[in-house]
Amino acid sequence: MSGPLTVSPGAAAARPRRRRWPARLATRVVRDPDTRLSVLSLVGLFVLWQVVSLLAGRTSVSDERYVPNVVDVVGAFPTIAYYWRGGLGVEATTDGGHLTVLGAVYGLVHNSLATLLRLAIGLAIGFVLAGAAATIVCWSKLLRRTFLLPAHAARMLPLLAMSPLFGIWFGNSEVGAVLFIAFATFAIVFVVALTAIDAIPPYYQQYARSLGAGRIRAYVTGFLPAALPALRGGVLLALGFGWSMVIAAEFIGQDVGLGNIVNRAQEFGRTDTLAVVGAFVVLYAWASYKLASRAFDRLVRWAE
Amino acid sequence: MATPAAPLRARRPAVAPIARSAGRLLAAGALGVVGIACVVGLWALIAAVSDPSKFPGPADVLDVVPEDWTNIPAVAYAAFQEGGISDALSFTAVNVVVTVALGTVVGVPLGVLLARARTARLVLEPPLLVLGTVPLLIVLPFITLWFGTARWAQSGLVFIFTVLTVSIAAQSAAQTVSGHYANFAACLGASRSRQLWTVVLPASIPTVLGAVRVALAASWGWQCIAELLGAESGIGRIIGVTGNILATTDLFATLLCLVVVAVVIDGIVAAVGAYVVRWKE
Repeated sequence: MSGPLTVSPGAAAARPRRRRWPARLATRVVRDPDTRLSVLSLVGLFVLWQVVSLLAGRTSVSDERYVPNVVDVVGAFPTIAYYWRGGLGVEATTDGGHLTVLGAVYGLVHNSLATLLRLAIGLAIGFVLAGAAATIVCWSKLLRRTFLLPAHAARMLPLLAMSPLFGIWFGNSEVGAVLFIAFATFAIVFVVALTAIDAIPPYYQQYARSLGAGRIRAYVTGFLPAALPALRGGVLLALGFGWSMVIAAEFIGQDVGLGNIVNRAQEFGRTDTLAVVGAFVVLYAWASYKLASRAFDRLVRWAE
Repeated sequence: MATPAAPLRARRPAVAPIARSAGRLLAAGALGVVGIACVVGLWALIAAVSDPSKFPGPADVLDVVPEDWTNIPAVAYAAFQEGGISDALSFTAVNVVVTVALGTVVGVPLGVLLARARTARLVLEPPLLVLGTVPLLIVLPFITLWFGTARWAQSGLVFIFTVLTVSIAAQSAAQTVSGHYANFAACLGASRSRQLWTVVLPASIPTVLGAVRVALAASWGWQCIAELLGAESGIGRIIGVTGNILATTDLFATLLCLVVVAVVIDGIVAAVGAYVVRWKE
């Protein structure tokens, strides 16, 4: 009878230890000329940024640098505390509170959550409506071809600049901001879905029908999933565009959110605050893009 | 006994395929008109149950277009600014078309360079990837602070977007072509520069044209938001002013004119593109 499985010290020693990513990157930079060149390019970009920052001078409005350097950006983080409304042991600056790092963290989290929530709900509504509309319209080839031209015209709408219209319809409310994002998402995803479904060869559905599937089943389980891989670009485009939409919505008519900070920082010529918020928006956008990209790849992992 | 050969059937006249494709185009056009009619019908339906000051119907909007074409009274009153939809439209359209053309002129060589030159790819790709992840609207306040509200500065977003979109498409197309057609040409003795000019660039055109149309469609939005947030002319400016004074009918009329012009310009680009790549199977 065999005893419990144990790993012998020798076997453990034989297994190569997985090193942490900084060490792996350092090794690649030393050994691989291609990686070295790419890293040098990014370092060069960073140095160029600092040089341009020194040469560009300062604004007459706020005496901030036109191009804030890395020290300015890091040093400006506490200014986000201006956008914390008070609570959790940190007084709001409007009530006499000081600029603190903790206040800035609260301000950043509060405004980021507001922005992320608007974006998530807007995107979800837009995706669901676009998916449902495309599913209905694409049921018949005639219907699909009928709506191709209006969908094509919808691509030309200046979606970002339509926020004043949503302001008229819904005021500066949460509903207006969310529906503004949902509308833009719908316009993008519906067009992409229509084009993707139109490009599927009809034999996909015919195969399913010849195997005994009913018309609805062949459409829902065979035809529509076949269009999913072609939707990847549209979904990621809608996500990237969604970030600009939510910033635009908050820029023009919201009291809370990263777009509101951008608006006020621009009004007061605070380029350093703009850069801090910009850096976080880029970080969030990059993370959401990676997340959506992986989720979509997993969803269509069966695709060739 | 051998049967006599059947007489050769006369060839169909060459005009038949043209007539067939013309018929298909006509049918697609007719369906498109029906689709537009459906959307206008839906618009009228929503307008009928809405407050007309917030959601005007298609008839009201179409009535306003000729009146606003040369001068929009609401804008003249609120912004002390003469000029109608036609002035704003020509301002925005010229900005968009010129900037997309400039972006394409920069983006195509950049993309081909990234695909064909390894060192250039290693050096330029990381900064371009960083720029590609930046939501463009976050760049706009910096552009306004650095360059003011000059006409060319307001087109900065359109330029960046077009360069990024077109260069990515050109790089992808040139890489695909380099793997097949350029190798065939190399086997037949074509030099590297000849491969580039006679194989890689022509074969990349269909993909690049698609990217240009995508950039063109999105550019109307980028241009208008830049004008809305900081310009003194253009469709974005009209949208901002009419939105502020609740002149919804004028706002709808402006949007409608913009969409019509955008669709026409896109159609021209598509037709020119179809002619340029008429060799494509």
